[in-house]
Amino acid sequence: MKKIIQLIAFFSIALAISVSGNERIWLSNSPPSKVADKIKKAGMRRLPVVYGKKRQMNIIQWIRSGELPQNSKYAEPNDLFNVQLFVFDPDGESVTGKIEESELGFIVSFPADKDGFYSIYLVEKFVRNDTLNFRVAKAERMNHSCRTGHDKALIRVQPKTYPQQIPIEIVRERFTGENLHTVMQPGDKVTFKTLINGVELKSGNIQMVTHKGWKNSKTTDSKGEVSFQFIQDDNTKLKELRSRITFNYLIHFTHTVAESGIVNDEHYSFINYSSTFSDTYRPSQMLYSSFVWALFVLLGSVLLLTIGIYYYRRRRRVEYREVA
Amino acid sequence: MNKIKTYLNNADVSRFRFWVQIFTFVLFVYGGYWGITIAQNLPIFACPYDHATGGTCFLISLQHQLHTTWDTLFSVRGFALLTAFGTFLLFFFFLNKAWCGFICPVGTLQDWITKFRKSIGVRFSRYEETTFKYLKVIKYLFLIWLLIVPLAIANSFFGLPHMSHDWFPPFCTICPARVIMPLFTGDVSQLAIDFSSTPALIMTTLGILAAALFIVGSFVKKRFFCLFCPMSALQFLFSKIAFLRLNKYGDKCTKCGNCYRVCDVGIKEIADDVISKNIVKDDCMMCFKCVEACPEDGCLEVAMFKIPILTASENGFFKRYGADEQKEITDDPK
Amino acid sequence: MDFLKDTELMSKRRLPMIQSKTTDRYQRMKKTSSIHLAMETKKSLKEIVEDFPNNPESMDYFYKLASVFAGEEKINTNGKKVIATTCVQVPTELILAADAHPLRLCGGAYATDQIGSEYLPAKTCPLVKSTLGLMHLDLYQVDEKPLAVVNPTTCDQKRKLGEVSTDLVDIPYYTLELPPTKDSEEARIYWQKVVKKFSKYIEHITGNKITRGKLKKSIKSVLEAQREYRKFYNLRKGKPVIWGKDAILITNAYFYDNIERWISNVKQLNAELEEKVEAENYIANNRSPRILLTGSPSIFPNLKIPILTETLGGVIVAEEFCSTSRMLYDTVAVDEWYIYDMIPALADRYLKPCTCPNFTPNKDRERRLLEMIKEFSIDGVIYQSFAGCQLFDMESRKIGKVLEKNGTAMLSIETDYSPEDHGQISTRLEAFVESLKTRKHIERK
Repeated sequence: MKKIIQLIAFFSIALAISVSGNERIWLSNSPPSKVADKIKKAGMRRLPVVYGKKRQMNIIQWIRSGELPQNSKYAEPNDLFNVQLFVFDPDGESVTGKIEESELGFIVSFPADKDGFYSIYLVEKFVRNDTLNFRVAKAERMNHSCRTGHDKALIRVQPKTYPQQIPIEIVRERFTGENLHTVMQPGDKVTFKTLINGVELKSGNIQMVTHKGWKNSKTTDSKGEVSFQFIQDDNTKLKELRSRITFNYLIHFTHTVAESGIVNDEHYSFINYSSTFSDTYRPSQMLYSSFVWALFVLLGSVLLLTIGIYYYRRRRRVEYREVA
Repeated sequence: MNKIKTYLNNADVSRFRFWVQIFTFVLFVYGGYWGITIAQNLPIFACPYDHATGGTCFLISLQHQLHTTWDTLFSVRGFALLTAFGTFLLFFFFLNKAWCGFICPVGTLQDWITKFRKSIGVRFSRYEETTFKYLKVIKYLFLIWLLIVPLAIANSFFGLPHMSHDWFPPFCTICPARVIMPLFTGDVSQLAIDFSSTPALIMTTLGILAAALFIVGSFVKKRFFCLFCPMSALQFLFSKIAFLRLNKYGDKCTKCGNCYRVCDVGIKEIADDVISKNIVKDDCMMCFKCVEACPEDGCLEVAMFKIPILTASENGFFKRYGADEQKEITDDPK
Repeated sequence: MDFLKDTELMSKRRLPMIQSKTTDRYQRMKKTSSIHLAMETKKSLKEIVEDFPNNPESMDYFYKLASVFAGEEKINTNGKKVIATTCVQVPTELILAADAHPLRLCGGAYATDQIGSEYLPAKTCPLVKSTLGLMHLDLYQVDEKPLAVVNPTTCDQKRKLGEVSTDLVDIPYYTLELPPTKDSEEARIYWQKVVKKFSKYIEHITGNKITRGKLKKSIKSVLEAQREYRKFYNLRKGKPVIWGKDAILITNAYFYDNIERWISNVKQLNAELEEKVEAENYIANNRSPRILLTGSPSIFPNLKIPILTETLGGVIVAEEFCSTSRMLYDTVAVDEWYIYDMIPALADRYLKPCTCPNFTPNKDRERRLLEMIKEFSIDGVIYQSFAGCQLFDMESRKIGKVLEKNGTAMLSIETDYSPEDHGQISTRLEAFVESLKTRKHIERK
């Protein structure tokens, strides 16, 4: 009897949670349009930076909330509860960052000196509606400039997890031969591994959303892994084909377990783990090359035909002059 | 009545046609922006690859509807093909091939390229008669190709394996309009070569080559593409029973050849044939330049439901081609 | 270029004069012929003007023009150079575009015919002989001597004329190569090339460049002349207001007159004739048979057949001559007003609708005649062929059959320029006209 009531409660609360505005929080490289011109970009991946004292470079990330990357709103401090920021540098050491509200918006910023990828985590832990919520927003940003060289690239790109500080992890498995310059593109098959408190999550529901709104949901296997085949977004607008344009995609999952306890004098009957992982991708190489090839073929054949016709007409004219 | 007739016979049909072409070009290339969709089975190249199109070319719906298995085609669903075809014929009968000359946006585009060439004084090309004979077959080959391939994709001919779906739509992928018309709305998506499979690669490359050929060909020859257009071939099969007619009364013809001289598509029969009455040939686009240029009263005539609308007349000819009585003939060319 | 060589040599040869012209005999011949020519012209004009009452006033200009050889002043070319032609097939628009005056030399005088007979075989076409006589004696209607004679290769007698008379004529000949057929594509392309070459020759010999604007202007002015001629042509489709002999004079004037003057005078004439139609002032009544003249052209002063026919009661309402309707009827239509289109357009117009029997097959002439018979309500056709004109002679049987099938009466007359067969022809014509009158009478009943 108690079990049935618990089950009903579980579902209703899950429902309540899903409609109560428990939005997904994720970290983004893209600034809001009003400050877009003021932002400087650095490194090969064009990460948004601000320069502090003594030309110290600070990478900044915007916090956004919403389901679709294209039209998520920029979060406000009220959207976050009891939030902690963890930033890890390429060597795995912790870096002190800050969450602040400035003229650029509600941003996360941290000093970045080393070359490699930084892992940024926003961890929230709060109790609401009789549920303990762990909400993590993760981003892996590659801060690379070719000046610093490419030695030990294969080692430097390997993913790292921090189970002590971060309860939920979504890890993107690296491709074979991945190096510091690799960017995701449509056509790639990406594998993600999900860990809760260091343990693989079996049969969890993972969802992937691309910038233009293509969604796919899959369940993790016994190893906690799930693979998505990236498909082509509609990138036919000319302004979207400018080089180095990147889009965001999100990986999201949420998992609830029935466990009771008390934290900070608040009782909870369920624990809800939800995490987002935001990363960037660019339009596929094949897309660019198909347009470039087409342009070559078009212009080349127009040029050849024009030259051919010109010489054909000239030849006829010259021949006439000789006869007459 | 006579006054109207004289007015029409003396009118500058070419100028009227120029303005109608601009209007229909805007209508069929940008009509979608105002929510205008005229029809789906039009006898012109109003390309649906242009997302703001104001109508749809019949050939694409024909290809889609033929992309069925034999049993579906001959079942109740096959009725849809008949209605589509019926709508196409209904549109076609009213204006016969004047759809080509007055309304087709691809034709209009070629006429504009010709105007540009005229303005810079480059000479046009004429096909020699022998070349003409060989080139004319190509449009019928295109028509057969676009009718057979969708059926071959969905069915097996003579026990051979089905053709891959990458060959679909067979004519649209090689049509220059698919590449060029979307450019008018800023859409460059069709200007691409599809590397995903070999048939797609071949077809899209042919499409780009066709677009290049279209641009250069229209520059040097008036209405270059109309010689190869499968829509024109399809229309010609039914042209004899359409309502708008172009008639010639051979007795009055002095074989001066003016009509052939001004014909954009270069139809020789209009000047040489003095026996037939219905003088619409398969390349004809019914622009009526021949009627304008004929100086014999009543030799060429445009008739709708047997009522003559436009007749060749001596006064009309001199009004259009002769010296303007008021204007002084100066040394400046037009 | 061959023609360059020829013309340069010839122009050097201008002075002193060619051998044949230095003799005393030549001077005597010239004097006698001029007198004979003047007499012939006066006589012909007298018949034209005085034997027919009620000539339109505007015709006075044309009568004056026709009497150039009878002592009237020669036509003023306003200092323009003159290019002479011997056939209707030469594109005169090109000559006009080079600021030159085209002069058609086809001769109609018996006096010069006699001169020509001395140098050419007896059985030659009298028109060719007369033309040779004209050129040999330097009797031109214009005040300036032509720079060159353009001689198209139409009938074989004209074709050889240039070659065999280089010692008699001191102006260089330019042979314009006309194809012998006009239906095939090869002939058309060949002729277009020839006309293009001709335009280059004209530029060279006159020293003026044919530009796009000038060619357009000359095509339009010829179109203007054609418009006026067509108005005149259409006026004769109704009840007759003008005699055929006058009509022939009008188109004859086009051979040598300044084109703008010609246009304005024909305009005047048209206006006057329209008034006559309004006032129902006809020159003949319904009983006069309407006659179509065809065959070898009647050129002033040899208007024997027209004058005779009309004196005997017939009215010539239409002629299918290369000196009248074929010269001015067909128009040029140009699609793009650039040289690359205007010159082929001209070439096409001079080749395609031509009904001259030197082309084979010549079905267009049959169709044209049938159409004219229908348009003008013709009662009878008079087919004139000159003695020695093989082409028109050979076609007469064919045309006769076609007309018989159509139910039109035809009279074949073979004649030449001499006035000796006047009586014979008169009898035959009288019989023909009478038979037509009777037929008309029966038909009306």
